[in-house]
Amino acid sequence: MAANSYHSRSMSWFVKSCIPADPDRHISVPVSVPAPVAASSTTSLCFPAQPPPPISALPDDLILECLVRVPRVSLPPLPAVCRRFADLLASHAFLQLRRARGQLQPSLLAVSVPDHGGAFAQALLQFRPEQQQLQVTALPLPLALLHCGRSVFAHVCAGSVDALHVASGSWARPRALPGGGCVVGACGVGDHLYVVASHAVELSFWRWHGGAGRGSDLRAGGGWVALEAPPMPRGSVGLGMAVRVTMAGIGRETVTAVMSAAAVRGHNAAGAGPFEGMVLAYDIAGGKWSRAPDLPPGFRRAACAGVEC
Amino acid sequence: MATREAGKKMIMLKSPDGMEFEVEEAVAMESQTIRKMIEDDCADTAILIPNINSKILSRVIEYCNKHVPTTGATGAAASDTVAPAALAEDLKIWDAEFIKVNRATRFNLIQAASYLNIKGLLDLTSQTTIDTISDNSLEEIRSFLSTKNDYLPEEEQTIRRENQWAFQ
Repeated sequence: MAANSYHSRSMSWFVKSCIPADPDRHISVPVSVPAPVAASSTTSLCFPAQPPPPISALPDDLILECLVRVPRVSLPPLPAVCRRFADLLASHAFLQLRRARGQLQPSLLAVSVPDHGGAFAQALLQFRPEQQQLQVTALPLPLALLHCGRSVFAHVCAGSVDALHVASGSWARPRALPGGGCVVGACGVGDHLYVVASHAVELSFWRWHGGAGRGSDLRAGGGWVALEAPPMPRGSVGLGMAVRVTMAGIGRETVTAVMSAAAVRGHNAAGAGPFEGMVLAYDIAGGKWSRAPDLPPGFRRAACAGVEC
Repeated sequence: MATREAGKKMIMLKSPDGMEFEVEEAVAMESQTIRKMIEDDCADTAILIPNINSKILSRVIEYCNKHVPTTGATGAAASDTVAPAALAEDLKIWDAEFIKVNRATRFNLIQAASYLNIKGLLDLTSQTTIDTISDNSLEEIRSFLSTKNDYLPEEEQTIRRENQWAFQ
């Protein structure tokens, strides 16, 4: 039962490279297994005295073949099954297999720390292309199963924005917005930077291209392109209201903005009352905002990231 | 076309326990591994399939026989009156019967499918292994997979806490 002592892929490699005249000479060579299981596999292997054989009798890559077929909602409890499962589920090979099978979906991960301290709260909003909307999924995955990937990283500070082009590792500071607004939220999608700016009584939404065509960028207002403004409830933006925006790119197609508004102390805000965790999604190709489900109650000052899982 | 029908190329597959199976080349080529060997002209005589005993190999050949595509084969277009959807449905029923085997056989089939690179069979066998995982408790999953819980109690508490939404 030395099933774990070889990696079945190495066997297929041997078969593909012509069958030897003397197969006894060609015992499979152990190949380094991508998953970090070597340390724990000996302890997790448990051979019962009689059949049926346990799933741990299978080599790692075949257990992965099985695990990769588990629907996403059934994945969260699985790391608790045994150490070997936990290691395999957290491995890069597992992520790659799921991506290759088209099982990873761009999603918005929101993380919030409750006011009274304690554990982080997570919510995962899944973007479903066929429905063009985000959905709150009931069972977020362990963070180890999420993957984050963007080519532009944006940092907002004191109303201006800095952008890091990840591929080149260079920082850029776009010129001030043409309208003189104060940047309140930003995120990168592909090579573009998307920002929401506040103009005291309204919000605006802009795209900036930090890459090629600098000369024309300068003529065209520092590279900024005005886009449709995010739709906000009447009265939520204006004097006496403080708007907070957290943005994240979801895949290459969507920009999400998590909006919160609160009445500033001392002002009597007219119109809509304060709200928290309103999620808006901007379809880049269609150029339209739509409203997605709100973050669950209790998500205050949530931080957001675009992930795939 | 009739001449082609008569002159189908046959391939000899040998299991390590000495059994020989003569199969049509098209059937053997359901396995990408064997296809590669045939294309590389490594398959002049018999092909030895190491590590797959005759019992499992015969089941694999049975699967390939059923799944060898009829479309594209010479003469199939004329005689083929069954709609593709009905054919697919028929295959699904056949698959469901085929995979009603004990766990040891199924694990052997998974290994054989991976090793011979037969995608459909790998899908079928590993999906069947994992199907019961959904909607079951940890204890049920462990007992189904006959996997032992190798966490210390406090470790299990930690991992459950990390995934607390999953256990609600």
